[in-house]
Amino acid sequence: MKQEEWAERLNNHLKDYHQEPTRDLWEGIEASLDKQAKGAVHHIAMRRWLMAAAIIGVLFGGAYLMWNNEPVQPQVAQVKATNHADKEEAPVATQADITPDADVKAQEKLVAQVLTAAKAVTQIAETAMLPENVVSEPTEKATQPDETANKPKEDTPSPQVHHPLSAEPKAYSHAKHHQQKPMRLTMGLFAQGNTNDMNNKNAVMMNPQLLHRVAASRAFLADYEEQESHNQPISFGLSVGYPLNSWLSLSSGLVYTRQNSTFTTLMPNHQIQRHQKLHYIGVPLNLQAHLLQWHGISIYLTAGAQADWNIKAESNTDGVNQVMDKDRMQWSVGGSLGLAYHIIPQLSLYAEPGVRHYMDNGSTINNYFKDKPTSFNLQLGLRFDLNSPK
Amino acid sequence: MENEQQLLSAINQGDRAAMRQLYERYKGYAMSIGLRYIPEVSDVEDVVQDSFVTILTSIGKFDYRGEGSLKGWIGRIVANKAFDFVKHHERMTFTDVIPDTQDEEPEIERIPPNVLTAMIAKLPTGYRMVLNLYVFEHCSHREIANKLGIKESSSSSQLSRARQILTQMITDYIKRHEI
Repeated sequence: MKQEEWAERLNNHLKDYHQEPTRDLWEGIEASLDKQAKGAVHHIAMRRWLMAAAIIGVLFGGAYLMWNNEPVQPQVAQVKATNHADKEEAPVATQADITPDADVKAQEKLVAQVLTAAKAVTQIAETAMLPENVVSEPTEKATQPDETANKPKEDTPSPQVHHPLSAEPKAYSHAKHHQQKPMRLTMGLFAQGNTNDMNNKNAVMMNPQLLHRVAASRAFLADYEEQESHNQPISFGLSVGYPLNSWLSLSSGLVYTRQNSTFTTLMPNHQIQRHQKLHYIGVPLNLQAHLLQWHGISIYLTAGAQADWNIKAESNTDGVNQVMDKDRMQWSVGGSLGLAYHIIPQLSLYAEPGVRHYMDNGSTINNYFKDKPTSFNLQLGLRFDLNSPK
Repeated sequence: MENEQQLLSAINQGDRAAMRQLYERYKGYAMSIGLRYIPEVSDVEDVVQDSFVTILTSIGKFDYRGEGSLKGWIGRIVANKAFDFVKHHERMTFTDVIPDTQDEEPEIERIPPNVLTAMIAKLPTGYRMVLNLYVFEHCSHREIANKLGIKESSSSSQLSRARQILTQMITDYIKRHEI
């Protein structure tokens, strides 16, 4: 008997055989079903709780950061208390410049108080970034002690005390600001464009992208020219900044960049044009160093890197859309000088002219980044200060 | 009695009574499949219970293709669960011994199904697996070889050996019971 025949007979003999279990299995089955159903509900509920907890955590974390970044009111109050209540706590450094004289001890104390008040005023002016009308209040208060201190100067030599006025541009003192830190979380929207020529044209022979088409059409290479025209990339983005200390902050975000190019094949009596559109999503990481603040204008330096992913590549040749390979990841590094104007304390308009270098990613896709790897660019944007002062 | 499609429809709506009805209808069938793979009845019952939990939780994904398709689907799930049980609990060995041929083979149909099932369950693990996969799961030797990690020629020789041993068991049973 053949194996297949034997197998068929065995199968036929046993295929309708049933044997009852020795115990009722349904209870166990039902219990497992109930357990799985509860687990699924619990899983969904847990996910929702976790999402809610994450949202609450972000809100509380942001609120905590904002709460801890409130420098203004307590310092003002402290200045007042220092002036009126604690006259003996004058800075020793200032007293050393004054010739000790029993007759002018009171005047020394007054000068010391003035210096203390002025110091507090400059702290407030530098760190608060308040609108001018708010800053002027402590300034006005500070000038009162100044005027009082000036009176005795006729008889006694007084140290040349420099009272930095809020009207003067003030360079950052890193050591000072280490103590008085506004930790601000910032968020910004920006647009960016490169400042090179609008189009970059060159004649390229034997462009591999067009070579297959040339070969297919059996075009002769005599009287043949290829041209590339790369429009400047345009970027729009959203950035979030996190302060590391009083003058350094880290920022990141999301950037959308679009870059258009046109490739033209010129042949006698004929021209083929291919339009290329590349869409990128990038993640920048920048370090910002704040240099100067004056009347709501701040100047800073930014340096960092960015990784861009080509999310979409479009190609159109003579009106016909074609499939096109996406570009590889594009890395770039850059630096810029930033100028920001605070429209209101919470909102500033900024411009960051700078230089960016695009690294060769080794792809065969020709674009602006390969044609002009190093270029000037200009980023314009709006920055939101999430720490709104009271 | 509801047909498979009606039963499916009720189960998909979460009818617990319909689920129980499905279990009651096919539990014997599931047990018979399990008993060909696993010799111990208590182990078979555990596998059947686990199989029905899987069946009832994934029945929404089952694509009904006519009367009998549900039974076939249930049978495959039970067979797979039983196969996995044997794979995890027993050591499978395979030999390439060329079996001796027999001149006569007794009729399989003379042996009661429960006895024949028990005989299959008593086969050495490797032979048992190959026999079940070839005879009852209708797998080719190539598919069996892939599933068990053996050569295709080994699958064929294992089946021949299983047949030889089973034939010997049947012969002994017939002699003892004078049937």
